[in-house]
Amino acid sequence: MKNRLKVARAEKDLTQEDLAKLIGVSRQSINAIESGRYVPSTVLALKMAQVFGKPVEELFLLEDDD
Amino acid sequence: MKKNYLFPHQFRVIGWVLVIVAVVGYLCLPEFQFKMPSLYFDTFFDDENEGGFFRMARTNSLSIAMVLLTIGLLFIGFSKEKVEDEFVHYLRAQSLIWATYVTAALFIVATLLIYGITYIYVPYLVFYIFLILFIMKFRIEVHRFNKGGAQ
Repeated sequence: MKNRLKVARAEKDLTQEDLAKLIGVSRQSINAIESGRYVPSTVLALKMAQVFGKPVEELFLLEDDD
Repeated sequence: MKKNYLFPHQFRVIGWVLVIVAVVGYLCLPEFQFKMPSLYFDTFFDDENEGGFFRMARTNSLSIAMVLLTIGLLFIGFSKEKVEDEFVHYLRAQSLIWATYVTAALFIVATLLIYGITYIYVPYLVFYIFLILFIMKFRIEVHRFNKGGAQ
């Protein structure tokens, strides 16, 4: 799974720490998700979509091997 | 989904205190003994020849140290992190699986290689080794992600 969190964060001018606080996780979790080492739960993905005002599909994209 | 079986974050400090008390206490008073109610299931250890299923028996500081060590290690390993989110849960689960495999491997090696009465120590040690391996692995994983990619 690919994600566009970094870009979305840059557009909104949010740091990892800011985003983490907004959705109630640690900065490390945001880092792990952005780097593709951790796939977030649906709840977390929806919360991020809410923060960025975008549909989930614009933040997270399936890859061929998923 | 919100349910978990973890202790509050502050319990980690209590856990360390218990572990230190257990280790220091046992090293300082290894011979300390007292009596407490016990269950006798067989007469093999019946050194006092009193008979009966339920009675007072001698207990030593090692027993107390083992109890404190067990509780302490549980508190250290299973207290919530400051931010206990799903990623931390994931790291915790991975560390538990890892610790289970490594402990199982050690148990197999010990079972094959250790012969005789010494083997009675193995089950006790395996339990503590499991908890200690889990704690180490989990802390390393958390530390790795605390360090990684500061921004």
